[in-house]
Amino acid sequence: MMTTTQVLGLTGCALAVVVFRKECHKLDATLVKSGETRININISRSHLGLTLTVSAVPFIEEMIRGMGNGEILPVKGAGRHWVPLEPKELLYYQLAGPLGPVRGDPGYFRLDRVGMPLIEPHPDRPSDVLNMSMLRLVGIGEGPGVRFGVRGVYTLEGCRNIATSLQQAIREFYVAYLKPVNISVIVTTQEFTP
Amino acid sequence: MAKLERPVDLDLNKVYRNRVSRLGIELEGGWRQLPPNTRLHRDGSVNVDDPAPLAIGELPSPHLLPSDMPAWMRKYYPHVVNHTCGMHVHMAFGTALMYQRLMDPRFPATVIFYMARWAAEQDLPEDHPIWPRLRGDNIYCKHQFFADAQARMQDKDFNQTRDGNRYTFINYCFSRYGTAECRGLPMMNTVDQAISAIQQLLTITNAFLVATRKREEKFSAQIMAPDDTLIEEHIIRL
Repeated sequence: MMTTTQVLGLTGCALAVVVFRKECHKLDATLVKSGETRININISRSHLGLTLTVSAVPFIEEMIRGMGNGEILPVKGAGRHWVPLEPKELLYYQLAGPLGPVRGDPGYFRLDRVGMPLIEPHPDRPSDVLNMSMLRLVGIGEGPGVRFGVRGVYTLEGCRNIATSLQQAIREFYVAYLKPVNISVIVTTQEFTP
Repeated sequence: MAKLERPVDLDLNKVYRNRVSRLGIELEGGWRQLPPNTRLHRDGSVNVDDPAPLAIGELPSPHLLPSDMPAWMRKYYPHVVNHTCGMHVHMAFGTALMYQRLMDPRFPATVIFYMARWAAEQDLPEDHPIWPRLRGDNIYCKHQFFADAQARMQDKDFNQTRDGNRYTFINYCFSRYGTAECRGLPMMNTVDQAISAIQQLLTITNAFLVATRKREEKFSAQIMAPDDTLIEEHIIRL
């Protein structure tokens, strides 16, 4: 029977840290199945280079906005490689601090290159870095998302590889930083018998 | 790195709409007298001689309309050429999509195939410098394809073995010049033959774009919700 208990419910970003003091018993794990598309990026070659359409469920855009300092800036001030294809201006959420290439599986990716090419050489290593900064665009969580052009030329195989790499890298990023995780922690001073 | 694929069947007897918006020609050789206001670029690979003193090197053209190419060639063609002299042709296009449709391993294969046919029709002798280039025996115009890596290179690179090096029959130097460069042609013995070779290259390119025309594929990166969203309950005993 519990005498002193504290129930801590932690919901949100999986970056939350739970400190276990002594013993930890896992009581229950409930699986909730869901097949909703969380993020979708369509890529095709076009007269400018590539056309990308980025869409996501609204909470994804909210989470990414929360990673920043609240500022919204025009893409054209960050780089000249992204071109608006819709009447409204391309805008993005500013990050809270500087980032660099992040090591993923199988390669590197980064979110701090708004307006820049989709693939760039790593500054310190002999490998390429995939640019996932389109996730920071304002409006990806609204309606059909954001459609824009990226200057550059690619083979069909190159496009296919970009789509595959984006899928792997964004999934990894989603699971690590965006996926909702509900954790309940019950702290007790007595033996708890379920 | 990809190997070249089979050439595409083309009908070169048809008249095709020209998609090449601008040309750039690099002539190599020796000039007994340079045209006025002309300055050569140094090129250590060019080695010609003549009883008369020569100005030796490389002469790049300005951006030319395809229709202006013959007149420029007749004015600036060198007086002395040999097997060490290459004739590089840069082609620019109106849209990135036209350029991307040439980023296809079938394109250099098709250029090689139909330039070989042109060379046979011209009765070029067996020891003409075009044949090693068309066979893949020249290290400056290899029969290899790595267009994506080449298109991202911004600097001129003299490394002949690096992945994405520029020494291929067709070099996709988009980031540096905005052009696709044919490095496979040698300087011809006469300017008329050189003009004919370049016109053949343009015809092959325009015919290839028509023959391979199709709706662009779309690719998708889709992240579904993971198979399970975990709700866990943990007990900590102090």
